Amino acid sequence: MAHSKQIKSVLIVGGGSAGWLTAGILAATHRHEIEITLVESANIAIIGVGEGTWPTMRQTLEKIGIAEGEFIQKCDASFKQGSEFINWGCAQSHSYYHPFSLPVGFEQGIDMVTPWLDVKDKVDFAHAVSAQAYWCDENKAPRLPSDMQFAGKANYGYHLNADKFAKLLKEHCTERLDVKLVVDDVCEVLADSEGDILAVKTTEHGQLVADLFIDCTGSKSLLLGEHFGIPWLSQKHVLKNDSAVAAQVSHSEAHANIASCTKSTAQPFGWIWDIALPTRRGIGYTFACDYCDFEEAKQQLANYITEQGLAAPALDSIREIKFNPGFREKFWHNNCVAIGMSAGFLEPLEASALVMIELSAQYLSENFPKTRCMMNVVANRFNAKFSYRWQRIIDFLKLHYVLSNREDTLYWQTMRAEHIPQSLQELLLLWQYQPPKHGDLDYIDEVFSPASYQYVLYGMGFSPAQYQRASANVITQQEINTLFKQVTQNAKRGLGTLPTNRDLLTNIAKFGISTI
Amino acid sequence: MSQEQLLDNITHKDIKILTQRSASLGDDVSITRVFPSEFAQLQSDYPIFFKKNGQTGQFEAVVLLGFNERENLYLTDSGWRADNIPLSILRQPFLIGFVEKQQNGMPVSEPAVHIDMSHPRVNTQEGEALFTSQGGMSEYLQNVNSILLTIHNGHSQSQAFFTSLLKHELLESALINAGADRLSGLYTINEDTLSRLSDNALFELNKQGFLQHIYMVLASLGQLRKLVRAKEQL
Repeated sequence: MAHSKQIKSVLIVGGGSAGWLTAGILAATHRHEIEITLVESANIAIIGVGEGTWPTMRQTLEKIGIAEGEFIQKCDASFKQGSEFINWGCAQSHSYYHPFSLPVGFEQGIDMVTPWLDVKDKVDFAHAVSAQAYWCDENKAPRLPSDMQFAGKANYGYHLNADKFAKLLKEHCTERLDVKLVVDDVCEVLADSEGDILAVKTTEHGQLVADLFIDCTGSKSLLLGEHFGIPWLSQKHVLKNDSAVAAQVSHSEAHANIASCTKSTAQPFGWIWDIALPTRRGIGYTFACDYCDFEEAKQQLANYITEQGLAAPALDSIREIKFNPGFREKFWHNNCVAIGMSAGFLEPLEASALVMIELSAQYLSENFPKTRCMMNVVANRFNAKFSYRWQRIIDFLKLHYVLSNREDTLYWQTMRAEHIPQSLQELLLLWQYQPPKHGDLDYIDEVFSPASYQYVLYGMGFSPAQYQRASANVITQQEINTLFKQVTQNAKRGLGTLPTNRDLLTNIAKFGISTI
Repeated sequence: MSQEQLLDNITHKDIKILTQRSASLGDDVSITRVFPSEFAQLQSDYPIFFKKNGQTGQFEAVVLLGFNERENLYLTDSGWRADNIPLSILRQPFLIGFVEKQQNGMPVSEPAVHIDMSHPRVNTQEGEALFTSQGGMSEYLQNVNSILLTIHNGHSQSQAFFTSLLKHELLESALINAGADRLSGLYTINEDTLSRLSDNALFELNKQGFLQHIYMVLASLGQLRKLVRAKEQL
């Protein structure tokens, strides 16, 4: 009986960050039991989206066995402590941080929001509850040169060169993790009588047979989309951005500061990302083409670049990208699972692309089906989990827009007011009366924790109807003050001891990072 | 603030250096950098550890002199109580600086002796003179020169030593509880890994002279007890 068939081999179709990250995460645990092969085309360029990671990437790299020093040096990476949102609240002179570290007291379940509201005119939320906000102000690194790899004084992720990252992963997977690489083009998908994929046919290597197929072919989605016809659920009505223009720009000078957060600046028809690597700044404008054409977007991008004191590239050298925001109706069908842009893609507002790849590959690795009949159960659970996750990301991204006071264009008026998901509406109503806390969301492994919601809500200037401290609350004002003070003291200490992002990266280029 | 100057026999002809050991002359340090070539001599007096440099994150060897900031348990009213004193202490107030020179039309930087004029050892009244009345180097300064040269060579030697220790995974975090004091950020040799090294690895370490350094470090750890006793007698 085919259904008791053991799952012994995996074929990953497509390289890029999605394919190679999946290969690495799977191989790190299963390389002795499962044969892992990746087929990638020599003719298809990787799109290289996702140049910002979450702190999860530290665990991912460690698990795969890539040393942090090697990663930093080979991927032109820099340290990222969170995001700064500029002019989102209103069209001018507004900015706030969403740092990676949790607000002080959050882990102990202490509500710092209500006491902060009393002093909100003196200090913004992020600076009140997180030292990291101060460090981002000064372009500091989140760690000392003497910290061992993957450790720091605050939670951090990375900015990186996606092409180089895929190359490093490929080198590591093939040389150290026994992943087999086939360079070829897939031209046909062969299925058995029950609909399972038997093999993919390649131009030069014939048929590649496997028990499980992973579709990492990007937005083309060769297997799940083209072969199985699983529908794409467009979310364009909720998140209107569907286009981007992107450029890579030189620093103003060789020793220019490297910001340790992603800077996201709202524009009349979308927003501009600004990601600083040691070697360059990656700057792009994601916008809604219903409201703005490519020419206008390029002009606004060039204006931003010039305002930054950088040399704007020629308009015709700026790359144009089109995308349809959304995700698949399901991600795992029969013996095929999609990971990466083949599964879903949204505007990179909170750098969700790479983290969704990590989460998907990790789930697959932790629940790897032993047999074909077990696979059906794993597939159902995977589908439920990741549909839920995509929806929560959509809620969270939409939150950035609905809290805005911008009215300068029809784009903002529409983005703020229309198609707010029911789940988000309910949360917003709840948070009129109490701040986000543990348990407000359904799962313990939510993509965005209630802490992230706090940073965005109060950063955007959300004003609640009324928060009241329970009169029998055990936390005294004095204890609250101690926590606020702890933040400023920690901030000051870090400002004194932490190197700048630039200085630390220069040091790492020279000396590496100690693994112990 | 330190005030470093390139040493020469005109500017510094009248300078004298106080050479006695005392806290007021800058010897009140609880930790100081040492180099592998010193290990054999120092191991009978001091516990040798490894520590990361704050600026570069690179490992370097140190000896522990005390447990609290500015606490040097080797320092007594009658001087420094040990047979050998680390070169990084003896070199004070001199240091190696680099000067840009032209060589075949190309700029090269060469090591040269510098002096920290703000150091409490520097004066014009008493101590060892730097230059003879004819402007030649005094015996004292010749000795300083050779100390600085040893330190200069020690840097590259040290780098090779730690590259090798890291490669063989021979470093581990040292947990030291000295009474109520807990010292952090120190590393030592992982004896488990050492005992399981392959023949090839041992051969290689021995050929480079690193195996001897490793055993000197292990032997030096006994001095920690001596240091704790000295602390208790305070």
